[in-house]
Amino acid sequence: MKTIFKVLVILVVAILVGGLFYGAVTASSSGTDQTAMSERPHSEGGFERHEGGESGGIQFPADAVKNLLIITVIATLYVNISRWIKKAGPVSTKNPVISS
Amino acid sequence: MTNEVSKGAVSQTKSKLWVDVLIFIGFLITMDPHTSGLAIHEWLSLSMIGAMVVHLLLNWDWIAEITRRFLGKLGGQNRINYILNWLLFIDGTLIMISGIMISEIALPLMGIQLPLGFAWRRLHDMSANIALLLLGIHTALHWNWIVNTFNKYLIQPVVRLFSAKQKKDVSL
Repeated sequence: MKTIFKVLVILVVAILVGGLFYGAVTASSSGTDQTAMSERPHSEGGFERHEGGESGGIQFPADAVKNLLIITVIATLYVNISRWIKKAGPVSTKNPVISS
Repeated sequence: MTNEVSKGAVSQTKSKLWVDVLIFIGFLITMDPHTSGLAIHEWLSLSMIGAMVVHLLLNWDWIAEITRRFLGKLGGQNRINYILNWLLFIDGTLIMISGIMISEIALPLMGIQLPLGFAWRRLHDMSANIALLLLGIHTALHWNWIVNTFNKYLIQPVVRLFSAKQKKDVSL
């Protein structure tokens, strides 16, 4: 019962956040740039959408590797910078960290 | 009783580890629709909603505790972590809603036809890029936990397994 309540809380918050975004986007767009599903062009914007593996072979997941690299670089930078700041600055023990 | 509590804590940590590993792999796959294809991108993204709910449920005690203490005394790192998690949640919701609005496979298959707003496509790409940045910081903030848990539940058992096998070979 408690778990169902927690799931409901998560979903309600997500719906509220999503609803705010939906309202903001639909209010800001005039509605003239909306196209029916059947009239959609296959690719628009800078993002070419296509089914993977159409050529039959296994593709190299270049974007996944690139994204993994970006996450690694950001995480490494953050960890090292925060360690450097901790070493340089005074250590506070007043409010201990609560591990998640 | 204490033993039961610690067993429960161990199994929860293990669950957290595997759910997080699955979410991370799922995230990498969904962030590469050119390789995976649009169908996998859309269906996997929708199933990630469930994984994210499980992730939040497993960390519910921490979320509830920090929410209660946020306006009072709280360590700087916890505060940053909490704000960052909210940003990730908001960004994740934006990715989902914009993804649903531009869905070309999953929603039409369910019989739902939505008009295309070009703003949603731009928002989807932008929020996905922001998620990459936020996930990097999220990983960094939990770096010690990740290293310790991987070491405890993945690396050490494998090392123990090999050392036990070696001892067995020597005794024979």
